Amino acid sequence: MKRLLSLALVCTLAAPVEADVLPWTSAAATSERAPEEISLWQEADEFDQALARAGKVNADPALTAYLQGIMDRLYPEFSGRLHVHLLNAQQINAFALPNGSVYVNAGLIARFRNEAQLATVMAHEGAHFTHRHSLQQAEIAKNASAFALVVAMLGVPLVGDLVALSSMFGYSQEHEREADAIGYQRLLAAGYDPRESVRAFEHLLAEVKAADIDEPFFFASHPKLQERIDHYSELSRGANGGETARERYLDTTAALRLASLDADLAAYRYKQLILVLADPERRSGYPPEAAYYLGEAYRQRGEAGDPARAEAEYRSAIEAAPPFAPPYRALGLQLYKRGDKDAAAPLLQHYLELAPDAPDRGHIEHYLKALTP
Amino acid sequence: MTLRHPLLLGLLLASLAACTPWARVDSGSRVETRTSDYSVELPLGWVKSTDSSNGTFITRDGPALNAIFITRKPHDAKLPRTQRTTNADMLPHELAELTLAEWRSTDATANLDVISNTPATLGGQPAVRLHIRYRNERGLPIERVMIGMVDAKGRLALQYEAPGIVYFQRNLADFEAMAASVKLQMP
Repeated sequence: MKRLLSLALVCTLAAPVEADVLPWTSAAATSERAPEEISLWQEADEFDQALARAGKVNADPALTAYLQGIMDRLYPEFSGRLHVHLLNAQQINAFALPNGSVYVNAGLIARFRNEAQLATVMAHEGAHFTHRHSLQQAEIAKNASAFALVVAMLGVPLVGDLVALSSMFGYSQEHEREADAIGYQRLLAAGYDPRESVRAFEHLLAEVKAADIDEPFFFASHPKLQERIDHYSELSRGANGGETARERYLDTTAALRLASLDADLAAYRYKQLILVLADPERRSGYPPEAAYYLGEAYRQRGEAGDPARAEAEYRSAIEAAPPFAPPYRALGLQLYKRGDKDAAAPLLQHYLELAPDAPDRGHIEHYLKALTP
Repeated sequence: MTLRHPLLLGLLLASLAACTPWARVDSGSRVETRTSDYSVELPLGWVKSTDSSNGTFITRDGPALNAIFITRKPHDAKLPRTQRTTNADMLPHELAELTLAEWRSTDATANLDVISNTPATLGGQPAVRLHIRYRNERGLPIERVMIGMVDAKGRLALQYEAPGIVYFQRNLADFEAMAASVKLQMP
């Protein structure tokens, strides 16, 4: 494997790379491609297919149309060429392929608060395509080829490592800065509030700190988040007005963001959950069921005072969303562990009534049996 | 250099024998006992790795085709991915939750599907039985069953893994019999 990869690297490094590449001006213009670019596009097409085959693409038509609508608003002259795909991946990431495919991770959408913040990232990724950064950068062509080879050999990309993927399609700092500047202009032209571009990266930086994630996990080779915040702050100095589209964003992505909470919980990412849901402003973007997820995050953290915090959140979820089954289970189990049998049993019973097909039914029935005198 | 000296040759052969990584499980070696802790009867006809630093590892047809791991860890030994520890008060479903989080944090099994997550017993103690399926990097479906429990000493897990096609079902009974043979010993 390593030898084949090395061969691919050597071959691609030997390939000539065009020095002066003019940006594309429209979707129609993309039919005129440099020879090296044709190969890059083919590899990207194969990668698109591999991701779809591996079941990593979320094909929800409403969500996909929504994301595509944002991209078309940002790059109207590239409508039909810049294709947005939603990835079922929780890492905070987005990336563009040389053929105009732009992938946005569900985890990224879950972390932003409004459409303008998401548009910031999409405008940036679109700029990588329109300005043909992949062709300009020999190193990137090399990495793309190597990755495509891996895909070709294995049949599926190493999709467990979507974070690694971004580094394989990473761009130089110079290209990143150019994409920032172009993306910012697109954000303005599309009528979004440019100040949200700074806030988008501030959220991500807060998450990095809360979760002790090593930078650069986001966009891999991109500038450090603080540098990026500084760059967007500079670009947006004195800017005001524009649309955030918060309500539309929250309505359209509600189910996706709730599913992300589930995924975070299942992976013990309680730090991120607490960061998001303990902040009243961010919490306001979630339905009442979010209290349950915060309660579970406190339970997983398990610090002093957390059991009481968890219980309060479970009770809040039960009160605000009575048909939602999970908090009955969570509270019932907490009381079970505490030895409060009389209070635990009806909660666990009610959980099973609300969720008769619960995957943990066996465990709950087992505990209920133990509660029966 | 040639090995003409019979002593050198003998030493080399002896050292090679000492390095043999596998030993067949037969009727004389099938009972694995950890003093003052637990004992288990390994399935006959399998081979056992002689390196027991990370627990007991046995296979019948090769690690890629069927493998059983037995691990016993103290509670304060952190799980490598989630960096969490266990404790004696954990309920079986909580152990399952943590185990699944650990597996989901591992690239190879990040996209696992849970086939079942049910209560079980191990050595007569409450335990959890997890059955999952995932696809390896070549797209081959792999199935894994883990039966685990916690007690005052730490966590004990028996894990069986094999390709979902043919091999998993073929050797599952050996694993189940092995799990049923676990006896926990009082200190």
